[in-house]
Amino acid sequence: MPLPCARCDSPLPLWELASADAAACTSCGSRNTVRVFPALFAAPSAPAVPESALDGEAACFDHPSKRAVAACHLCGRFVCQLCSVEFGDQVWCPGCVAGGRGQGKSLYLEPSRTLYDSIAVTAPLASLIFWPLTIVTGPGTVVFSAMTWKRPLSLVRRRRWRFVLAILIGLAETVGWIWLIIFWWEQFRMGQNGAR
Amino acid sequence: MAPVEEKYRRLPGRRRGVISGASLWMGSDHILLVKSAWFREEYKRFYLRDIQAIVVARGPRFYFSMPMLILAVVWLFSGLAMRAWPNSVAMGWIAVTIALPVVWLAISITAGCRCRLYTAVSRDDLPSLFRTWTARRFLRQVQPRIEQVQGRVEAGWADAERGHAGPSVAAMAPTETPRQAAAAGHTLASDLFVLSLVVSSIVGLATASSPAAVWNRVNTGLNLMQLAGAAVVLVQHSRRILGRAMQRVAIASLLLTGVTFYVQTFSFAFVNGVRIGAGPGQASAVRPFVVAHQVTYGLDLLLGLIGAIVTLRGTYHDEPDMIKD
Repeated sequence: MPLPCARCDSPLPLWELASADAAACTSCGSRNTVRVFPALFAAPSAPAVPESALDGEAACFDHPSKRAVAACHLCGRFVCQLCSVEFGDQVWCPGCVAGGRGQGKSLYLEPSRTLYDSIAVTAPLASLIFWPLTIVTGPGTVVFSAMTWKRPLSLVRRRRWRFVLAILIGLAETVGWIWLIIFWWEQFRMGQNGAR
Repeated sequence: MAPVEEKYRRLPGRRRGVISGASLWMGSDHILLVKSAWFREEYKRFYLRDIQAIVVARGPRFYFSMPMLILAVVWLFSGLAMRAWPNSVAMGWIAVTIALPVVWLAISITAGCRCRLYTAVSRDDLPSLFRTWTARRFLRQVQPRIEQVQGRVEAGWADAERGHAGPSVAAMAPTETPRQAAAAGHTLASDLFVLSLVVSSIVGLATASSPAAVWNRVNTGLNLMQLAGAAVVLVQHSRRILGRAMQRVAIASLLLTGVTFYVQTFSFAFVNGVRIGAGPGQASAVRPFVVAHQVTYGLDLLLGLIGAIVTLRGTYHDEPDMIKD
């Protein structure tokens, strides 16, 4: 089982790996530190071949002639060897996998997420570069944060402090604009009174 | 029912680019690779039971992180206040400005690495691991967890593999000495290169504050010799005549020359601009640049000494044969 160099993909020399868990690539010369695990030596698993169901035996929901090996964790349908899809310690049927049913979806199936909390905190700060924009982004951030508050956050970041910060900045910008408008209005009125 | 909300623990290594980033997290039964770009995160899970191998290859990795760029900009902006500084502080600022990129280059060249994770059906780079010390810490944390799930591989696995190997593995063993191993530690060109490094740095250090134009010409000539020597070393390394150690010295010397040139040019223009604005009589900014030259020549001398050590090791130290049987 040749292991490729992580830098150039050339196979690493086994005669070096035999002496230590490291090898210099004969192609690019870089020193590779190698950690090998038993999965490397496991024989490739044979394709799942479902067994035929005998009389009286539970059968697969989608393949009535095949013996059921498990029940779907979400919908309870019986599945054969071919239909069983393992997620951690659960078994799902292909229908539930395709439909992305259940709360388990968030754990096992999501390949990406949008970071609404980062958008919320960036918008009011970025708009400070051209400050008149804050008249829109200030209140907009507060509304956006409230609307997306319950949306799932990053899989690895669990705190909502970005939303809180975004709301505080948005409120500050909004209050600032209200104060500015009142100030301008007062100035305008004083100017008019002076003119009379 | 299995927990829906998986608890993740951060693993060593984090990459924070300007618009993208990457990090690794340990879940209950898998490692989660998180790649982020703008306001989106992408996830890839590597189940502990499926991981076949983790390979860390040393190699140069030049990488700017966002915090680093911000610090660099803040540092350069701090130079705007140079007008108000005494000469010693200005000299220190310039020395640090030269030294920091050199340190970054040295770390990027000597401590860079590329880490890859193999499963039966995939091979994925782990972008958050680009420094050897981080990769080591990552391996220290992850290896026991994987071994907990899969068990350990016996120490002599590679020997056993060689014993059972078919033609594909047997073909990997060299039938003759690899060219890499045959590469010399030093050649005449590399000796001259090292000599030029040492001589130019000593002459430069001795004459840095001398106003005589002749020393300027001598230093320029020695610098040109040094550049030519570095180029020849690189050519000889690419032809596998010369070993990797001397190639690294040549690269470091070229980078030092390049960085020094640009930093000095910009700093000189900047400082003179500020001081001319301050009024007549203060336009001379020669003193800080004497120190900057001395720092550069000092680093050149250091490289020359490293080159000398590489040369002497190549002469007196027989490298062990790569082929053990």
